[in-house]
Amino acid sequence: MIKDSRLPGKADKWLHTVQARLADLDPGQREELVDGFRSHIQESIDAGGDVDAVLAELGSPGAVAADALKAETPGGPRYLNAKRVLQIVGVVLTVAAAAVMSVLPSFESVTTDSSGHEKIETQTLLEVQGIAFLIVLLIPVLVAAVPLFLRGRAWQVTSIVVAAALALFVILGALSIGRFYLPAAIIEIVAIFVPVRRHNQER
Amino acid sequence: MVTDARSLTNLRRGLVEFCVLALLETEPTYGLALARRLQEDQLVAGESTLYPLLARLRSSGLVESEWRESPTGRPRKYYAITDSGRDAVATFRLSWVSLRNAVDHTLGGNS
Repeated sequence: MIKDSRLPGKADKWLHTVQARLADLDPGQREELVDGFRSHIQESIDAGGDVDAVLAELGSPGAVAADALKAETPGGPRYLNAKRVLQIVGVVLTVAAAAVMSVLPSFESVTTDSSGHEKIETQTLLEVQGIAFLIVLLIPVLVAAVPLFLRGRAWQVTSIVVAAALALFVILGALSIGRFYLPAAIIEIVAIFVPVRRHNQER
Repeated sequence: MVTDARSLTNLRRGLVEFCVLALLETEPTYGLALARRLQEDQLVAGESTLYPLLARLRSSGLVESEWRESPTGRPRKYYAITDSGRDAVATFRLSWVSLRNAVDHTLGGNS
């Protein structure tokens, strides 16, 4: 990357926007593209062009990045990859955990009747805590599902936050409901470290 | 039938890649000069379409790029054809004439 950029602020902002919108691209590919545009803008200004006119000629950074992504992946960026599949499995595991805790007898009470016979009664978590407790059980499900609706850098950052949140939930609730979400937390943490197969790799 | 705008765009993109390689055969060139030449020849609609193409050619090993000092003293990115790129454009040249003639003939040759 060029080290000493003397481009006007508008041009730098244009380039940074393009770079951000190309988050889905292989880093080397993205750098090559941004360097090309940077050099083009610099050359145009050096040749006497006005920065506004040069940027207008190139087009809006969003449109330029979209066209570049389309050119790299004619079918569109791939949504389903190994990382995403792991996150889907993570969501399924949180749903399973919530379902198990909803129906699993968790509390046992012993009563003795007048004739001295003991009667053991079991109750589920929801029967003891109330149906509203289902909301608490579904919070990890909703949290785990958030990354599935995102792409690019937002997806990557949110994936880390979600994995950390689930891990914290498991730790804080280790003696109660937290441990049921341990498999989901592990899967979400593993997903963070799975590399995303970028566009044009192995081409 | 595959005769929509996307197919024509892909066809044009493929042809422009070889045109860019041909332009680089003589000597390395910088982006703005390439973009203006392609626009003059009406091979690209906008200058911004050149750089994804160049990035693709570079990742395919047909073109290489490097920063050089321009006459103004500022760094300028130059693009040069590689040996693989020369082979590719040579192969394309051999095929293009017969392909063009075949298409013209099929389309009726009423030009």
